[in-house]
Amino acid sequence: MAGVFRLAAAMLLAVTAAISQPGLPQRIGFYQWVGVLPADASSDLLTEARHRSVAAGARVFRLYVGARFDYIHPPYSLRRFSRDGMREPLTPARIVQIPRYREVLADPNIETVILTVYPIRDYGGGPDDVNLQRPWSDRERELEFAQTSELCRRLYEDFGALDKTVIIANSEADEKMLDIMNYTGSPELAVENIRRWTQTRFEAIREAREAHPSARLRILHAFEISLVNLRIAKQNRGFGKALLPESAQKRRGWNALNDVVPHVSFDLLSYSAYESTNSPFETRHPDADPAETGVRLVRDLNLIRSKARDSLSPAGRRAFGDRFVMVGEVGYARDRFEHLPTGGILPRLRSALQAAVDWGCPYIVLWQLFDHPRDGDAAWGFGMHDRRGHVPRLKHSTDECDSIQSCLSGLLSGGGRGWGTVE
Amino acid sequence: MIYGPDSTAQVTIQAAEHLLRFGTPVPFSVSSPLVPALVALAANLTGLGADWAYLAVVAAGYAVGALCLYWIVRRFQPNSGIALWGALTYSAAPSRLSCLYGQPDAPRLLFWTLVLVCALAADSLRRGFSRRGLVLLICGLVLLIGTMPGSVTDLDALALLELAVLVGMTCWKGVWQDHLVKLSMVKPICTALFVMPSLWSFAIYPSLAYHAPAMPEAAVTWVRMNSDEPRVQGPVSAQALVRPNREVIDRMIESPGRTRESLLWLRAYAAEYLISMDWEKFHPVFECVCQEGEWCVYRIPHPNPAQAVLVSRERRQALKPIRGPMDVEGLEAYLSWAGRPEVVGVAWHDSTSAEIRADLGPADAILVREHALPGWRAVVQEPSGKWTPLEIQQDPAGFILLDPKTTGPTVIQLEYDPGWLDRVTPASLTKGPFVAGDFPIISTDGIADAFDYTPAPFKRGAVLTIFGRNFVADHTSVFVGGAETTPSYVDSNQINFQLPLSMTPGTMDIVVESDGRRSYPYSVEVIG
Repeated sequence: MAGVFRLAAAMLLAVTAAISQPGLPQRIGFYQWVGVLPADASSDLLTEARHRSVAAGARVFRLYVGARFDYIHPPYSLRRFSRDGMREPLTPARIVQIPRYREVLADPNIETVILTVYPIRDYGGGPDDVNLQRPWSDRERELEFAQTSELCRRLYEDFGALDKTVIIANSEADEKMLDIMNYTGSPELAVENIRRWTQTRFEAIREAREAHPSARLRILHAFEISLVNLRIAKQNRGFGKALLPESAQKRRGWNALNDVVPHVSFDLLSYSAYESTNSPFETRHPDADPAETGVRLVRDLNLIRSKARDSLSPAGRRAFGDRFVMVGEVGYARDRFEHLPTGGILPRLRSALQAAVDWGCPYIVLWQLFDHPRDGDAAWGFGMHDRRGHVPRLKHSTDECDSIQSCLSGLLSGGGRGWGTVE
Repeated sequence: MIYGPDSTAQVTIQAAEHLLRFGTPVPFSVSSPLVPALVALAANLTGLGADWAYLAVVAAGYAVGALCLYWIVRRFQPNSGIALWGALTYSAAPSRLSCLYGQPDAPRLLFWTLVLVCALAADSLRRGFSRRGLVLLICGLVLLIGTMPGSVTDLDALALLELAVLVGMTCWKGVWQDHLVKLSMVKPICTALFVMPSLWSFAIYPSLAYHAPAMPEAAVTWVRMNSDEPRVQGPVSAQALVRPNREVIDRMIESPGRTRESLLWLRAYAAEYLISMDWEKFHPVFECVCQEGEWCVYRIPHPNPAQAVLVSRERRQALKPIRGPMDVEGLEAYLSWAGRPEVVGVAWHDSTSAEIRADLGPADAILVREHALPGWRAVVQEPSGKWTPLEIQQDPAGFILLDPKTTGPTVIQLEYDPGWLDRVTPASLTKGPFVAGDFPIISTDGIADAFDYTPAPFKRGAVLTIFGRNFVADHTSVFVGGAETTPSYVDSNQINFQLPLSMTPGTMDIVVESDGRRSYPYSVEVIG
């Protein structure tokens, strides 16, 4: 009998969440990490990205809040935050008080701000993101708990009266696990550290939320993963991502979805969706039918949901029901996709966005507004704007929808003008 | 650290700065020791910068060369007109001017000057033994060795030819000489030949010499303005001068093609910027952050080009040497180990001693991007406050690796204190085998059963396929556990071969040898 009630309650929540699903501008937005500031820009990278995201009609914006990059100097520059008059020590709470960060949170056109946050510690060479390559201890716990709590307090104090959502997230836990495994040789350490770190962060956010029951500002915790079907496995020269066949029993594989998610809590699960959207995991080759993009994404969103449902917090369940998986990153590199025989970026992006919207993802974040600097033979050209500030025209376009900017603007301003007739 | 196109002038100036900073010369293969020593001496005595001291040494060498020739000719020809004609003409000879302008090359200029000094001394001894002549000859020969260029070039051939012609024309009396000295225009023309290039050199040499070949001042300035000061060490890094196999790597970076390898080397040396005019090569892979005419300042993407970073001790054990300039696999393995973002604090007390502070985890060692010359010493502070010596290790790129095997806050003092031998002899470079050409690479998960592409374990006698790169048909062998087997099929990306039936089950290393170069071993499990 209890099972029937639970099922009914879950269905009711799902229906309620589906009915109350906000409009597309409230769900779709942009991420900006390191990027080439176009020649026609009049301010810093973060402010410029915010302006252009808002101009495209998006009301969701994602940014990095940590010690490694300040949106003015190159990453790791010794001069980062030097212009900001920061008092020591640097913390995420102090970073969000810097005007260019603060303006993102205060911008009335942005309803949801997703912060990719890492606690900050000086390991001898200046402020840096928390180092997760060493065994988790009380020191790391105190660092994470104190700085996340301080950030939440600061957000409630400064923006508590605003009807906004701030989501505190990490960046691709699987990548961090892979890094830890390759550094230490210990998958167990990687899994344990990510579990404890995530749970500590969740508890800090939950406590801060409970301490501010009357705030209009909603602060949530999202845990971001990037691997669904692939695993991290020991390979001949270290750990790498691999598709492990069922028959390969001897080769143990790990990923955050299977090894971390069941052991932690979160209000929202963020999926960095490249594994689904950019190439089929079976072949890992991008030149596949664009129409299949959405099919793969829905398949993987369903899989994630089935594995993560039990870890969703009550607050997350109330907010999102059964649609608690957001797309934390989706994007296509022009140099890899625009010239594929099966079609370029636009049909793929349309298929992915359509699938994510139909599935009910509460947020869908596009990577990113400005191209990142060229980096050898790494995929390049994800930006809505190129280095000259131009909007690159893409193939398979119509008069109204010939670039990410025009297609997105059409979609966000009222119903996908032009997207329905993409070739 | 900036990485830019170099020239002999820049290398010499940097070598002098290296000498001033560390008190030791750079390796002979990088720069002959005499000229940097003279430049350093001149800088020390006069308080000038190394670039102006370099200019002074060049001017002195240029003038002494002319003077020596004048002296030699005077001994054969009492007619001073002939001697002056010879000296002035020699000063304006193509090889001398080329050493000044075309490819500024003080060592070569001084080398040929010293040849004349030695000839003068030898002539003195020929005329009659004197102690002064003997000392002059010995000193001249020693200095000659000290300036000997690393390789013989067409410039040397030209200089030799010019000397032969000039000495031949001036020292052996001929009828033509009588006519020559009677021509009234000869002396003014020769004087002009000498004076004009000399004046020109003094007027424009500083800018030409330092940034040759025509690296734009604005680009260098931009980098200095926009880069973090401790990471900028000049158009040619003094660090670069003492790294192994510098020349061959530099030549590859500065030549067209081999973009991937060039990129990997630039990252391996944690170069922050590259100043180049090779758009075709670098524009598609790097961001041009400052353009000056045909030159671009490219920012080199790197996890963190800081002077010191934390690296994994465990992975260091498995790291192989970099086998050659085109060893992509070795470089990638090195970069995946060394290209870390976790920075370590380095505070320089002066140019030869630094304090390193790091909060170490159990898996951490410290990579300091300073070349591991023999004179470096390190001590680590124990919890009791006592300082104990710490071994200076060398990583595959030649940098210092420190592994105090402690956890928590750690303080290390690093000091360069070379022995007397190090101070008078050029530093040595680690000269491992450094083989040119592409090495065969076995792909990740690149060995599978040839019939159904299933991965290991494999049965004895199984036919396997190796997927990879740089395999050469007709020149490829496969080694299984050290025993050679002959492949049944080879193309550039695939090899088929059979595991021996007689082999013992267990984990086996498979190595591909193509055109004399071997891949890194790939371990597979073989069952009975």
